Amino acid sequence: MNKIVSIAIKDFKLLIRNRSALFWNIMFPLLIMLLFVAIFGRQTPITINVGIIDQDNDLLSETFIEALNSSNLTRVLMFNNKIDAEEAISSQEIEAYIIIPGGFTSNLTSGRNTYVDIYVDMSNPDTTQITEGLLREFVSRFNEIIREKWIEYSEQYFPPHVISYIYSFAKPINASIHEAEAGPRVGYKEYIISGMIGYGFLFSALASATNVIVKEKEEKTIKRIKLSKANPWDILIGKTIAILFNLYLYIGIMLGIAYLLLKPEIYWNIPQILFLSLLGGLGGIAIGLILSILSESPEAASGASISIAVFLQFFIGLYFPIEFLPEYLQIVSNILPFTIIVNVLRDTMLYNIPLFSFLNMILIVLLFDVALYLLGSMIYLMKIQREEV
Amino acid sequence: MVLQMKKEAIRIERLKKYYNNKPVLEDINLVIYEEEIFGLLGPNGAGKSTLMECIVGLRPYDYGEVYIDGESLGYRGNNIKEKIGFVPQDPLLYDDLTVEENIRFFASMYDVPKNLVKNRIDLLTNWLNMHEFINKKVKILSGGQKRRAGIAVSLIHEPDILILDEPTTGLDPNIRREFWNIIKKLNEDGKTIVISTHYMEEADELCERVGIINDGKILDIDAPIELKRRYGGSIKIVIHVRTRFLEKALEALAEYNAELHIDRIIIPDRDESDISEIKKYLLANDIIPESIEVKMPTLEDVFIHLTGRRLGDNE
Repeated sequence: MNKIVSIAIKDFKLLIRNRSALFWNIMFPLLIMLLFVAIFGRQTPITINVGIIDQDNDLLSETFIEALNSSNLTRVLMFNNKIDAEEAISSQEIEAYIIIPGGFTSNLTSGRNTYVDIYVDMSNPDTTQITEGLLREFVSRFNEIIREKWIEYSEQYFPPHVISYIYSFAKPINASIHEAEAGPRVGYKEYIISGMIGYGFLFSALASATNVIVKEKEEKTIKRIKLSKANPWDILIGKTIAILFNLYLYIGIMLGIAYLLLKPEIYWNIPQILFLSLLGGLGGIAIGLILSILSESPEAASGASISIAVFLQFFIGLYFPIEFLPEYLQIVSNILPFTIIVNVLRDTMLYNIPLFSFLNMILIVLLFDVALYLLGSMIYLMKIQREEV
Repeated sequence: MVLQMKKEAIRIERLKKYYNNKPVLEDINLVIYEEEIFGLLGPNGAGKSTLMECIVGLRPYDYGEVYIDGESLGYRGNNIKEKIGFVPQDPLLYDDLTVEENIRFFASMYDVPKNLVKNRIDLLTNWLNMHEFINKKVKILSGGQKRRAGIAVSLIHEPDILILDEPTTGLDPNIRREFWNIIKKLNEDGKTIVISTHYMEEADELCERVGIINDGKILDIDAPIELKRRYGGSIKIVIHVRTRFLEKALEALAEYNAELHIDRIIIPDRDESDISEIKKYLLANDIIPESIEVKMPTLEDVFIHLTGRRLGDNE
């Protein structure tokens, strides 16, 4: 037991004194988290710059422009002609422009139909859809207000049952949106914080496990341990504990920083988070162990573990829901134990779902971890008995 | 004679080791006695390190047996491990730990009681003069400091037998002498020392007995003085001339029974009184000697006699 603890402390010290590993295991994921939250987790929606060519210059065109300008989603820039507006589109000063034709107000106030022309910059597919949808919604809402004003105005000339008929004709469906009581609001920051624990399974556990084992092999310090009274199980268990410490150090720092800087609305069910992290971490360590043994050289082992970790990070739902992946990749992603653990972690942290609700999944992951760890251990012990480790 | 009465520390019987079906150790038979300094002298690639790693249990061997203090190494129980301290050619320490952290770590690997560790570290620090770097990380130490730290780690469990694999290779001559003193002191403290080297003067200076090893075979084992008497020949004059004059010089000195030995001419059974006459002979033949010296027989001569080549030929 004494030897296991000494090996664990020694390896943990070596891990935290390795500045490059410390950067990639702790600093880099923190930066990723903060950067992704800054990009995708904005509470304020984006603002669309809209140009207006007002050929009407009357009461309702001014009301139209005022309403558009008062929205948080749009900022209005006035243009005198189409050429200027097209130039502004080309220089990306505006995302769209609207031409309000002459007679806009007089047509509307005399019961006639009118129109506006909307020109949208189609060169950027990301903003095109938003701009188009936003302006359609605005025009539709403006129509609604005009209709309501007309009906209000008509009330003095028609009996109530006719007004009611006009209402149902003008506005057959009234939709109103209410907030449902489904727990705290889940934003991107809450989503990514639970995902970033999964980052630790890949880098603080999988890649570090490979690193710790191959470094000992590369620097031949394993020879000295083999000469001593420590047996191969002491080495294996000691290293596993050190890597788990490393994983928990990362999770602790990451959650601490997230709590202080991002103030996420998540459930801090620490025992459940720690237990699930243990399951994810053991899976990572088992894969790292096997890679370190099967690779022909320490460089190949490190390269393989980093490649696998980098590849897997996009398939286990760390940064985005796996529904973003093509369907065939979702099938692969769903059977990965890391995906299962990340999803359970997310349900724990975002919805406070108790562990027993996931017993089947937990059992599957546990079996995977144990089988893989035992397989890795057997190969490691076999190799260490010979002269290959 | 005295050695025969000593207890055996290590016995190796018919040891064989193959790599890819090629023999690297062939039928090694060797007995090392308690409290002696035994040297394995041979060039690089002779099989010294492999033999040492077989003795300490780091490499499995294919045939034969190694006994430590009468117990078979095949069993490799913890009591055998406790008796051996191994100082590998590279110190094999953790670069990112301090020297003290390394020593403490390996102390726990040998179950050294915690209450003894501090005291032993202090003793080793004094004894190996490690004060200025005991708390420094290994990665910033000089080669000599690393070797001393490596010895300290190997001694923390107070083994009876210390096996050192080329401990002074790559060190400058002054530090090498320091190491020789350390090794002598260890032996005076009652430790059995097995040292491998390709420096003949190291083997000559330190070892009570030397085993000459070449191509995986031990060619002979005895005290350096006995080996030199047996194979080294008598006092002789060694002459160095430019390579192109070697043949001519050999002819000029024919009546002295001069012999060509690789890159030098050796005249056996002659001493200092003959030097001026030999010099005259050479100058008369337009040969200017680079050096003429009287040489006592050395272990290098023994090695040349046994193998037909010099110790440094493989380097």
